Amino acid sequence: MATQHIQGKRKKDLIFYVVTLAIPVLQFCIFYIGVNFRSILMMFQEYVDGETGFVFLKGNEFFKNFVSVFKELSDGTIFLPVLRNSLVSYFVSLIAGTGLALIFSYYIYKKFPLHGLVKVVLFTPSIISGIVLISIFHQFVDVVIPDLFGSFGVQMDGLIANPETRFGTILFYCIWIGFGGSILLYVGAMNNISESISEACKLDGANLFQEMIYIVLPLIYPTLVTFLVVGVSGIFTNQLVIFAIYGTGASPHIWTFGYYMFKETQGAGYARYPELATMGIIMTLIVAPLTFLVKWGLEKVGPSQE
Amino acid sequence: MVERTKKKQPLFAIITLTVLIIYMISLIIPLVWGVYMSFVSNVEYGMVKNPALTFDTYATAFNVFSVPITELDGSTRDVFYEEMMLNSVIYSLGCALTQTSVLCITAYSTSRFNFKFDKVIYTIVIITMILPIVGSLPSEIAMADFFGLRNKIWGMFIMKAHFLGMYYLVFHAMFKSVPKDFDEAAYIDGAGNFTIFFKIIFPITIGTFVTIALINFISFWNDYTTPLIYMPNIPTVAYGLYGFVQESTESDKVGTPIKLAACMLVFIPNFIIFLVFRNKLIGNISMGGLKE
Repeated sequence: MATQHIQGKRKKDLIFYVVTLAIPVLQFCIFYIGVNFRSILMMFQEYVDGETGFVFLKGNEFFKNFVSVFKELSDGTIFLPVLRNSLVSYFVSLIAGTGLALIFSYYIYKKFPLHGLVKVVLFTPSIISGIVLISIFHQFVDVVIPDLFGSFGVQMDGLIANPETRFGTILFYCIWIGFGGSILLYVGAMNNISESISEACKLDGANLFQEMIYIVLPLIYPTLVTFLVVGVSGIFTNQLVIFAIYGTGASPHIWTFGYYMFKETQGAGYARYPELATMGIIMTLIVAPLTFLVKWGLEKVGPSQE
Repeated sequence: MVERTKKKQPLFAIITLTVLIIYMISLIIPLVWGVYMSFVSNVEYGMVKNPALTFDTYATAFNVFSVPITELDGSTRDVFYEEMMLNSVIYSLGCALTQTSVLCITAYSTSRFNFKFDKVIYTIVIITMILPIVGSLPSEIAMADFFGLRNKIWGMFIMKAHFLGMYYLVFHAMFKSVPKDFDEAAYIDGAGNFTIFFKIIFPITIGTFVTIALINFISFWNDYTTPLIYMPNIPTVAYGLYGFVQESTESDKVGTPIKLAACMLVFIPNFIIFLVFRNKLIGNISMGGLKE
């Protein structure tokens, strides 16, 4: 009787399970697996016209897209600055962005003076549209700052208008406004630390730095690893805000891979898609093992939670 | 008599607060400047030291803030603020609700029933988070065209209704933390799985649902790239502002104050949402790591 009851419940659970997961799984199959499978097919296809659509390449032309992409990537005048910008933006965001986000989160977690206000202000850029913020920032650094320096007799160009300071200013902007989301989750993770651990730490005479390094960081390490690992893909996907400022017309010396891929896709028609899909897959093949390596490394060297 | 003692703050707090104050000032000054200049007339902008403030810039921005679109029949027309606003509300609300609901129900089912497929879904979420797929946009566009989802707002609801990303982990961790005794007691009382979810578990966790739905709403409201690519004929305010700023910068048709006023017209609805729901938005959400 009891067994029948359990089996009946299990059956009902299974029906609920299937009903609730059917649509999400179908969506995933089409828009993730299907899309990426299509990307792979596109590597060996070309676009003919609206009626014929994409057709497979044949014979000597089978690897035509790879040849085009390697030609494009081997053009050092574009590829090298793009690689440099992408790597610089990743490492600067990683070191400055993550470091400051952790320190600010710890400040909020410890409820130091003005922690409530700090939390609100740090989160504010997250609610303002990127296009609104960058439009204001653009005007500010190109008009107000030169005017301000001009009033002290120092003549200077706008920080975005000047090609020499353009990339650095854009990078600064991205870090400057980028704390909100991560701080919310770091503070959330820190708040889950049991108060008794914090109290025990105080009784043992640990100072704030020791508490942060030996207690807080190990206990929020899974959240930190998640951000660091997910961030690796940023090397190839981060557009910074170049598209918001320049559309498809930014000068090549500030391009990143993310911007380059987006601008090419947005500006191009179907005919260019096979080459872009090929380029994307090649980048994925580079960044995927790198991501797993970073994850493995972080888990290997990470502090123990025990 | 109560003796008031001043608590001495540690050096860490003093240094961090100093850095934070500098940061907050640097954040607030451009925003205040933007708001202030949005009330200055084009004529006085940059010319007068203490310009008079006027609402005329907003009236002008309201009339000229538009983006040209090409209809499917080849005709062109300008879409103005009111229409973009309506598109934004439908797009952001629809996408936020469908995506948050799918995340919530998927996390619920995979965290409470102990089927083998749970691990598959969890692993998919983790792998898709850490395995970056670069350059899938061309095939995604081709797929959207194939299913006839482009230039349709409901098409975006379908495309955004996925269970991938960090918020799945947030929901998953939250549902895991609710004791199973609740479900078992309700089941003994004759409740079915839908009743248990909607009447018992969901009300307990509604705070997190609202927070994630609001964050998603704001992010869809601010997103200009998705409408630019997938709904070029149904511009939202963010996409409209992108087009307006690009076009007015190239042609120098409108001055900076009008552009700033248009920025404020896009920002105001979000700001109201933030003021009303700020406690929910910056409340306590947390997620697990990359291992279950």
